[in-house]
Amino acid sequence: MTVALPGASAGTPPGPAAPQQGLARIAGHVAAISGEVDRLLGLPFSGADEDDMLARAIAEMRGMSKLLAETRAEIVGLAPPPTGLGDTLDAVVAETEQAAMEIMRQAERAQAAAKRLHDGTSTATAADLAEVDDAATCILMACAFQDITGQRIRKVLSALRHVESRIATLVALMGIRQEEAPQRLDGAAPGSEAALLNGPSSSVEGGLGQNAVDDLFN
Amino acid sequence: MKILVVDDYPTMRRIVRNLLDQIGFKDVEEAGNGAEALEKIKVSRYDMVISDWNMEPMTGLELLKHVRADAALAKTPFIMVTAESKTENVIAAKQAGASQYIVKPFTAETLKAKIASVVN
Repeated sequence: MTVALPGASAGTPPGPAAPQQGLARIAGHVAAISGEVDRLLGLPFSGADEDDMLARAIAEMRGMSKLLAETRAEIVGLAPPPTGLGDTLDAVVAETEQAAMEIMRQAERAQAAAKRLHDGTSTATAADLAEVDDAATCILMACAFQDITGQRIRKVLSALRHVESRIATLVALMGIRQEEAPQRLDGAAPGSEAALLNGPSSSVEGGLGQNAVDDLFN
Repeated sequence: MKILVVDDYPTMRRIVRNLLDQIGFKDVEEAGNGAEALEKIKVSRYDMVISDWNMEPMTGLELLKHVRADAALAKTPFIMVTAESKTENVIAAKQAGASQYIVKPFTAETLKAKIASVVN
């Protein structure tokens, strides 16, 4: 049986930058196969001499049809929400950078005033003391970013957990084994220099503290 | 003493610059990645390089290898300051010739101590 798959192009797997097109293509494939199975199930049989092979084939196709319907339902659950999660994380990046810059600006303001007081070069002691105090207040206020970004990150996390559980169901439905899945999302070959780019790692993930690093290094 | 600070995050460059200023190093220049740093190193001489690892288009490890491959720079102190904290990373940096290795997030004391250890 050959089924025409819409949008299928040999040898060009979807790139990681186009997950939506990828999902749409999979959904298209599922719909095409499902339609073909339905068509075959609807074909008339020749009289009462329906043999075992045909019965088995029909049972198999029914199973396939059920699997495809379940797969489609999982893919529908993966469809991206109207508000982009990427935009939410972009906002977090911008807000944390803005807050960090503000905190550093205020800290440097306090350092400068403290240095004038310490060196005895301050021309207005009370004003410089007030400057240190005001800078500290500004630093406290700038830390409010944590509340806003925390809420944004929780929103993205909840969406990610939803997608993760849907994908796990999809993987189980397809009977995909763990060893078939890629070991790294970036595709870096094990042992290569690119594979050393892990980003921050917690101690659970094998990240070392400064003391352990020093022991290794010195 | 002229120091080159290499990091793709301006916030981190500013933190390191501030700490360097506190310990008396005023002659500090910045680069946003390994390639930019390499261009600067070719033009002027630096007495120390403090570099992040994970940067595009050239990583800190690649920069370190370029620096060590140049006979004139082979002995320039090079401190890796990075969030990469796995054993394999520390070993790779050591083998490539890093003078010290600091894990992010770090304290002012750690940075000061590591700088002191490579300067002496």
